Amino acid sequence: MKPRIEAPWRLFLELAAGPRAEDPPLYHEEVTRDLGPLIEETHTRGVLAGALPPKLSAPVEGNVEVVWLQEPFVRQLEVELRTELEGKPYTYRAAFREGRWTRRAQIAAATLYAENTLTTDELPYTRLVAERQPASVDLPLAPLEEPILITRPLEELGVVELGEGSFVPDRPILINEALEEELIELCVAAGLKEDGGAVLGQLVQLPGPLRGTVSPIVTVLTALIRDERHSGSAGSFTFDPEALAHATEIADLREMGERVITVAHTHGWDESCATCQRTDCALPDSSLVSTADYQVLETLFPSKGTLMPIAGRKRGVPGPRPQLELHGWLGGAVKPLRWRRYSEIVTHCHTT
Amino acid sequence: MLSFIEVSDISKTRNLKMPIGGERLSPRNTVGQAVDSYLDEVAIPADHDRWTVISRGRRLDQKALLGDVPEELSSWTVVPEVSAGSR
Repeated sequence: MKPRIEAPWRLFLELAAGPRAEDPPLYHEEVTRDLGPLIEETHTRGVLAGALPPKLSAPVEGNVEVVWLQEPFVRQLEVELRTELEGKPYTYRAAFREGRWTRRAQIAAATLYAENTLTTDELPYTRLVAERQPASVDLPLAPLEEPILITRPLEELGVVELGEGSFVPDRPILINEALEEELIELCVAAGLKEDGGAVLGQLVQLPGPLRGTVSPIVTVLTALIRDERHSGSAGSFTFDPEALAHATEIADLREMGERVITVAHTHGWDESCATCQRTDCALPDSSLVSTADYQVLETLFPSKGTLMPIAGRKRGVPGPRPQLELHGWLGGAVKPLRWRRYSEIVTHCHTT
Repeated sequence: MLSFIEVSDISKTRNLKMPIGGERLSPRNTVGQAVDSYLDEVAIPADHDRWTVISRGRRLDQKALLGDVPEELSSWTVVPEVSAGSR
């Protein structure tokens, strides 16, 4: 089912040499089609937050509004989606200051530098321009997703004990501490090269929200499936399609309702990272989501519910071991998200 | 001969059943054209990527005609050949 969206706007990305409205654009591209992913993200976030029904039993309608910085320049876009289930209305609203145009701007800026339109000491100013249209524009929208939900208790899925960490209240995420440990060890062993693998997981529908959360849907990342057919180098990790397909077979064999829910990779590590205080180190850290990572997220795992774990050093925060950071879609970009560990074995005894 | 294909991404979130002989696809279309049609319909950006089609653990030839694909290979997983990383 595709949503019916009222969006009477054409959007344009501009890169200008100065911050003033009258500074002429050095680059100009229509980006109206970039509204599509924002609508997908609004729907997925609404469902995972428990604010929209997972089942698509009634049409989903909505609209896009512009909040001006100074017309025609956009401060943010706001998407509202509406639907109903058994006569009960549901509404979810999300705001966006970034989108696919943000990545287009990075690529366009690189071209401006390469062709010497900009010198290395100049910064391009990115702006989004909106033009109101007499009627809604035709957007290339994906059919809305019904998430694949497992309804078994967490204990049956191997979640024995919750550990350290914290939840985003409307997007609770649990990560198997064995998966975290394996990724950190992988990062140390791989050194400056990158490594990784497929990640199995489930979306679990609980009878009610866990303490500290508002949504009954929990994302659980359960296991890392490595495969020699994937290949890593310094700065890059290539996923082999047949190895990923093989990981789906492993998920089926485990009979825990898992699927290949994402991929994880490392961003490099060196022994000196343990004591390094430099903030200008060329080695990337686990917070960096590159344009290559975005490409993986938008093509290999097109759901806006996809998470991306990255292990690596944390810039300016020296420590003896790499850290695992989890990234997910939030406001048109991929941002770090909070999560909690869980263990498959009881680590201490309860006494009464 | 295939009468339809069921196409999905690796995480099974974008699923599409496409009839062969319908408006979009005929037995004279290739596997690669069917992939393009799927990506367009489910709004996955296809630019610059090479795509692999896997069915029952086998990689399908992108140039094969749909009319030549055995009926038991009707369930496809479409995977881009992509790299993550910091570069």
